Amino acid sequence: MPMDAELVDATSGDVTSSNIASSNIALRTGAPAKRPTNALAIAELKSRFERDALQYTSQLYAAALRYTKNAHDAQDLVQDTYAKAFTSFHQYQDGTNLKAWLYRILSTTFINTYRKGQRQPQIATAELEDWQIAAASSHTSDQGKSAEDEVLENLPDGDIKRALAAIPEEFRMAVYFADVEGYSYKEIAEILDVPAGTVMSRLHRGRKLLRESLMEYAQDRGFAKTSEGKSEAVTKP
Amino acid sequence: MTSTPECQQVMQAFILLIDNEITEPAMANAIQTHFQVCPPCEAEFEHERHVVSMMKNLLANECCEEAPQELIDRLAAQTAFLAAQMAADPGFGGAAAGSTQFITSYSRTEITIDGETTIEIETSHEIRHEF
Repeated sequence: MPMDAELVDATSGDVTSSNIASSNIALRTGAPAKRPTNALAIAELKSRFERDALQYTSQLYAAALRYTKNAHDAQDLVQDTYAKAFTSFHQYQDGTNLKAWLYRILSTTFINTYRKGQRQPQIATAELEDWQIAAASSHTSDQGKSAEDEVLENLPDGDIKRALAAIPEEFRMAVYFADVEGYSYKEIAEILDVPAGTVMSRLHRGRKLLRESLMEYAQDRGFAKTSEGKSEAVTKP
Repeated sequence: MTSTPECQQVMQAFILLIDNEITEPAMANAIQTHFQVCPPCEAEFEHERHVVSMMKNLLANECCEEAPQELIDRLAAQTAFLAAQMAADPGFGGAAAGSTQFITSYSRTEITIDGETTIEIETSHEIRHEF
């Protein structure tokens, strides 16, 4: 199809096409590709966008809800994300991870637009050294393990969603992209624009915070902590 | 239960093992070797892996909201609007390097009782973005 050839040409830029491992979900490209100007090329771009990009609306909405924590702002965030995505869609490299590219725009848009004016939490510098201390622990007791299993196996609906929403954004989004979307550290690093080591650290902390919250919720419902800090099931008095 | 410095090192690598992020075979081998001589570490690892797996299932079941129809309609209207704007103005959004600027319109689709669809542009705001 002649239109395809023109679009391929227009998107070539100087970024070599390859898989996601080589950073091409990044919005920045060395030489910006030309935006299509004729009506047919624009119509082609539009239908490709509708077919390929808009299919992820629900996934983007779910991720936006994790960021904004309310439906109204999540809708606005998704809409802004798709506006930016459309106007730079001619730069998107065919065959690369489109969903990850959209998540990257979503994440950047949230930080630049919705979090504008707020001071960005400064956790990045200390967190990498911290995590090693945090990760190192002694063996936990069998009772502690089975209590945690029991809590997770009997978790009421809504608990994990509430716990995830309650943890700081950096940790929350690392957990979301790893444990819901199944992305690798490298992919998450590109979506969030942080080093892969930071992703690992945030993921470790995020999961830990999530587990602690879930145990606390359970404790409030009749599970008690032992003196060792490990939780185990007890009969409510 | 006591844990040695070696246990601590192995436990630090649990997250990499769980997430399938260990790229060096030597590291994977060292962990497996340690598990053979240290059942508590292996039990700890199995527990960690099980917990992460359960949390993944719980999260996947609850964090999967469907986009509301309102959003789907807004996106359809916005895409049509932006394509029309792009066709009308070749310089739209700016293709040159450096800071560029474009307008995002918030639109809402309203469906009247007799089934006719009208699109109303509610507000618009500027987004500055660098390419």
